[in-house]
Amino acid sequence: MTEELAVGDELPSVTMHPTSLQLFRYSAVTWNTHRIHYDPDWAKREGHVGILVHSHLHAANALRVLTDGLGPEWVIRSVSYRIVAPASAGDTLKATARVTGVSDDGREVKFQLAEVNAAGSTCLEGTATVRRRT
Amino acid sequence: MTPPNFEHLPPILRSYCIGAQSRIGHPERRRLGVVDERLIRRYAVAIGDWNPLYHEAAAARRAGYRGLLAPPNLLAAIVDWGCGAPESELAPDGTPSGHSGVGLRIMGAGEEMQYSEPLVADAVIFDTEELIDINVKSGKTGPLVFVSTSHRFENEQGEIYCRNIRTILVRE
Repeated sequence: MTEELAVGDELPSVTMHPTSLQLFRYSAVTWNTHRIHYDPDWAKREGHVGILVHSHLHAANALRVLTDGLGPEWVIRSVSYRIVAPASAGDTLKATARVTGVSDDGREVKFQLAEVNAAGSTCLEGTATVRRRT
Repeated sequence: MTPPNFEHLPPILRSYCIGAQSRIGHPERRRLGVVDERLIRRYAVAIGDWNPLYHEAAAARRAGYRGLLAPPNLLAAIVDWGCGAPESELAPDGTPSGHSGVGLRIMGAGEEMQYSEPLVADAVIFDTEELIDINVKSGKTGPLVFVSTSHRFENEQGEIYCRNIRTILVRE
């Protein structure tokens, strides 16, 4: 993205449709053996609706709004997020990023991050700062 | 930071918290291993991201990186950089024994990340890990314990890729 960003601007959203296969792959590549992410019976035993989307997969979805929307001219400098509601395989997770601040020289931009499910409940909320690389 | 009072917690959670409390103030640095191109590509596939910077080294170099670029939270996301314990030594929930404890439920609650150097393929990663905080709160169904651990991911020369504070939620 080369045009200037202004407070209130929104980057194009990114929607993830996590499947049980995706959660399996994510567990495998991160060598995460926690049953809540692949064993439906265990997940229910712990009080969850289904196998849980990993918190880092929520975060990866949210960060992708920045990397896709801004392109390679920008880098992420800092991120802070909270998982405020769980999500399961089969959910639809829409991630968004809205500009909340721009430095005087336009090279550093702050964002409010959010990820909501199909029912409109927020699953992730956070903030991020990005900086132009050159 | 005020030392949390664990007295009112149920026994299993209290025992976990006391054990965790003893780890505060004891940072440990260890070599995690190499982030190679296959790990980067597999992670990118797992998150469903086909950004060429994560899949084509030439595209990453054209964008000014020394090699294939890793997605932003790859370092933070990997749970175990080794081979893992035998199944018989894992906790019933599948986590490494001692990580959660029998009778406890854990899940990721959030994270703060500060990035420095870009992470590209063939980096050798060292992590300095330290348990830094235990915060007890009241939930609708019982006490909630938030445990925060800091990580400093760097290479052998001490060039920092990322500093994280990771928080997990632990409850009975």
